[in-house]
Amino acid sequence: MTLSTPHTGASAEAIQHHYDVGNQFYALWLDPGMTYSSALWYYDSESLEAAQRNKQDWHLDRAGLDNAERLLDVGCGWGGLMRRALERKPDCHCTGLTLSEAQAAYINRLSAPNIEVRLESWADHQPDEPYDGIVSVGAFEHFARLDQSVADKIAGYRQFFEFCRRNLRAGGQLSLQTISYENASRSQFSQFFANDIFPESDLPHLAEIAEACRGIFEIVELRNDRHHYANTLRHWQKNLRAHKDEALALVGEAKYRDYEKYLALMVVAFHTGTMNLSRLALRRLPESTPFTSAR
Amino acid sequence: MSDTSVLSPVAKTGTVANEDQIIDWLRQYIGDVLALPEDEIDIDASFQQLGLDSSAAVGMTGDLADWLGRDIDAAAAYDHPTIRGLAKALVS
Repeated sequence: MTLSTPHTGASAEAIQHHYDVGNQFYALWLDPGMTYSSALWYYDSESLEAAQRNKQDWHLDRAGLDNAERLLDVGCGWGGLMRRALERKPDCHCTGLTLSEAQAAYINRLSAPNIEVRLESWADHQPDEPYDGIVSVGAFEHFARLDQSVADKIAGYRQFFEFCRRNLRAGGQLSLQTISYENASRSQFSQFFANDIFPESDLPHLAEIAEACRGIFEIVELRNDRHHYANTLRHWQKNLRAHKDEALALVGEAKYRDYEKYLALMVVAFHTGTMNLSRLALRRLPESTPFTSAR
Repeated sequence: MSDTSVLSPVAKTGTVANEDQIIDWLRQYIGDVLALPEDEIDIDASFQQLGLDSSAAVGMTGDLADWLGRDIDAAAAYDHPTIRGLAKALVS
């Protein structure tokens, strides 16, 4: 963490620790669109790929894709959501931010028209023009650190919401998806997650998100979908096991075991409700404030 | 985690086990993990009471699945939190 960006959570090195294990490794167990976050099932019979598309569409609709010319994806992963946006609206210009070099390289290799990926934190992103909609899926988990005070953590989240307001046109919407603490607190955050899987990262509680966006964004819709994440993780577990030999060849026994354990612990966390998966549609509030009475 | 092949020579090929055999496997496994004599492990105590943490519980579920040669949900030990309860659920 540097002094110029005091509240942006995990460092680029910490992000790369997790996401730069290798694109090929993730490709073994994620869906073909490489979506590394909870899917959304409308029917139990839907495949993981279909449920990931449901999730992308849920967010794109809430970010106002149909009327958007410029869309920002904060924490764009391997770019699946931007590719879906362009399938639906080819003339939209999508900008994706990531701190993972492997992810940025993956997106650049696809050379998709109308997609620009930047290896940059939102805290450093200064677009020339505002966006019509902003989406952020699975990045908020990295916006705070376990060693921060709760006040600093909320202040950091608030900086993110201020960034979004600053770079969103009037009335523009932000669609957010994050893992959150539900029936657990940060003091119970597993050392295994903290040290080995997601270094330098802490999760929000829903109340902290509400406090951080107060007066900046209004919450239009909220879905708590922990069972959808448990289900997504079960698909990933099954895929990883089915490709065990290839995974071992790519990352070795220790890393394979880490991921097996991480996926299993996450299934337990969502199944039992220690963690939740929150999806929020937020609308930018007007900057005007109530007139005060002269008398 | 412990080496399950010591516990069963058929670990790699899968096995059909009845409730008592699964109970025995779990007692041995937990005794091994916690370094306790098997006869001190109450099969009606919760895994948490026995002293398993989350990592140990999912490790146990995974190793049991390997031994049985079938999938077991990672949260099984939470829905069925005792040795007897888990064994019963797996054969029903």
